[in-house]
Amino acid sequence: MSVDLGPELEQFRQQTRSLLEDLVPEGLAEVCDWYLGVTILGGSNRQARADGYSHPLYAEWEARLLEHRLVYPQWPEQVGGRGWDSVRTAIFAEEMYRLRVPRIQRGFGADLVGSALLLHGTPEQQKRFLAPIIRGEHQYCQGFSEPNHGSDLAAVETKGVIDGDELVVTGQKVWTSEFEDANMMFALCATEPDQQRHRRLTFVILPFDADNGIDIRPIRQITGAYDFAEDFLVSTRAPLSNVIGGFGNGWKVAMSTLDTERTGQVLWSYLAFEHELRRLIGAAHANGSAADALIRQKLAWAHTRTQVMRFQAHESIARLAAGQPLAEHTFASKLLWSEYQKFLGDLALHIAGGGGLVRPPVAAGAEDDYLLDEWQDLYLAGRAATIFAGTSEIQRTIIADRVLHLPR
Amino acid sequence: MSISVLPSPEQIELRGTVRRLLGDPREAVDRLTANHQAHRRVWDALSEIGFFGILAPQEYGGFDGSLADVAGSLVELGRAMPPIPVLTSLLTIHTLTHSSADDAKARWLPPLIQGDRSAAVVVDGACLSAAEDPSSIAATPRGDGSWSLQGRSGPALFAGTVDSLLVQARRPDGTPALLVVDTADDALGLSPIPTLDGSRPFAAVTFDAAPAALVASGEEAERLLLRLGQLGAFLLAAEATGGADRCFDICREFVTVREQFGRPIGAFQALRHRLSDLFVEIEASTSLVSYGAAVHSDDADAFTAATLMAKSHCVDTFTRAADEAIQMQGGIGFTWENEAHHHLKRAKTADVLFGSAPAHREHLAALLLSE
Repeated sequence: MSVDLGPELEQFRQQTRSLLEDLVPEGLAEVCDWYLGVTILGGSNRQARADGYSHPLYAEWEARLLEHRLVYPQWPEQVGGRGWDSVRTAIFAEEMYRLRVPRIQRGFGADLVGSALLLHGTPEQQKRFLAPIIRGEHQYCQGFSEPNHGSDLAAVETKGVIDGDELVVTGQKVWTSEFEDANMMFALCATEPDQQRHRRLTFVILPFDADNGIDIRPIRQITGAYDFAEDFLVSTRAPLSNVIGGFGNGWKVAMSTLDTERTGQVLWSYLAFEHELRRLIGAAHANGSAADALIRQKLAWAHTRTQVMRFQAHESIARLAAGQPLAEHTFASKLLWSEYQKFLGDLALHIAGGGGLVRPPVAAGAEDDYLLDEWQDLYLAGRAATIFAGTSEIQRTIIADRVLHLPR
Repeated sequence: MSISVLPSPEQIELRGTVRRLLGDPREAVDRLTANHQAHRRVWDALSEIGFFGILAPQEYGGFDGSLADVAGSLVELGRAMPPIPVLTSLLTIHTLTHSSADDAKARWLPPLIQGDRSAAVVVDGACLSAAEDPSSIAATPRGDGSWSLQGRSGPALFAGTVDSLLVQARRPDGTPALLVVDTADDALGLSPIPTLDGSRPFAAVTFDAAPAALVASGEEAERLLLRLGQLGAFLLAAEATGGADRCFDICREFVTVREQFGRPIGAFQALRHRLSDLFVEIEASTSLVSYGAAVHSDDADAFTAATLMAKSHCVDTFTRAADEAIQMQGGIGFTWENEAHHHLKRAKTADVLFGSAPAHREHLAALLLSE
């Protein structure tokens, strides 16, 4: 059931649908389940998808989407996108899901640095940084959190000092996800130490490799994977033209990227949550736990939650299409989905029962000795969901401050 | 099929009008103990704006409107909690409308639609019957096309304060029947039954060869009863959303004003975070009600699922909000004079009427697991 967005957008949907149907290589949807395990940052069920990414059909698909400027279509035409608004981008995502084919994503960092550049970058910077992302030449990781500054991001200590026509950055960042594939980092550093809290910082793009003074130390997660790292920046350099939004404006740049999340993935991520729940229902059927009264109650509750996400996404899309401001519930979407994800991970192992704790066997001599199945991975990886991108506690405080205007 | 998810300007306006005519929620408690005339005034104000005709067909003086037209108003009714039989009258009008009993419709619908008459539904979902003492009403045909009712009901919502009753009964062959009766008839006895919730009076009804008009029997009656139960659950979910929102406002106002330890208590993180969590749940309630209203006229299966989700979530949330309204106010939240306990008791009642939250979730699970 789709939302009535008027004839123009309906026509856009039909055109998009036809185009995609023409472009999709046959068999792509069957290569793997592209939509399972994409709900968590970094994803669970990654091995299955990793195999998919190296499949020739995926390469074919990527080439076709690139050619048609459909890799980041919400970015401007001059950088290789189509300049679509968030409503069209959401419709595009829905149509991709309908065919069960993957969007081409260049890491989670791309969306964040993309927003920063679109809101605060010059056209030259947009071209210089966004085009290589689309082409797959640049992949970004985020240099925000530090060992001493996570939730209190405004107080980061990594220093940025001007040296001629370069900015020299020294300090330490942590929890950099997707560091393995990254060759670029967007970072917050303190360039104006004498200024007030929210005017100390600068948002800068840094080449991310050992040649640029970056020493990466992977950190193992509870899932067994080494999916994030701490990074020591020792005189890491970037041209001054890599500063986005101007010196001392870094906090504002960073905050505005977080705001754009309200019109980004949240408009279609409910599709992945529904997909995941359907898989879990299948698992409950398969092992007979679907007859358990408590599991049934929890499945019903989970379904209700996904439908709330669906309706809220549709309502946001309708408001955007009508030029109306977003509703207040959009401030709660991260809290809603991340807490849901933890609940679902618990439910998944409840359904799996004792046998569900047995890990998949590891091949002799394999590098990774702690393999997980999809539900174990969800259960563990889900613990991160309520911590990254603003902890649940911070989300509640944001709601209390910005929506409820409670006393401070 | 596509649905409209944003309220139209007319729907927004109607909701605003209803909200205003219901009066300031802060005076709701005074209104509960007010005399009958005050309640009559609210009822008449709703009649005057044609509220009871919105879901009814033009043929009988209605406006052929949609559930989306009235959903927002039901939320407002839950917020202001006037002790008037709006919900049950709407259910009666809706059920009659969808029946094939033309004579009964022609006689009973117009005055209900005008608001000249009010109705309650003596059906299982609306009765607080003890498990060991269910409603038992027998419907027997007389020779002349009319019917006779015999038996007694459990405590039925608003049954003692209306002039018309839509009654669920059993025919001699055991199959269900739906009939309408006039409460003024001597053959009916109405006994007010005290329940936890003082804002919604219940009464047990006894029928002693009471004359009744048949609305539906057999399969049609089953269908209509299912529909009635579903719509009843949905309307309660909408009311529950308004009640939860009112409780939220009670909390928010109180923690902003009440000071302890040298600051408003709303500055303490524990309360801020609990209110943020409650905000999330109430927004979810609002979304589920909007979604149900949007799909009601076009997709019966989607509406069934929407009602199961809305009734379970919205009533659970209402209970939680009412609990918080008492807890956050501290000692005074526990007083009779305070508004909070009315909402707590309304939430508990809403939980029991037209199917509990676990029952709805079980039904939803059955649907999900059958695909």
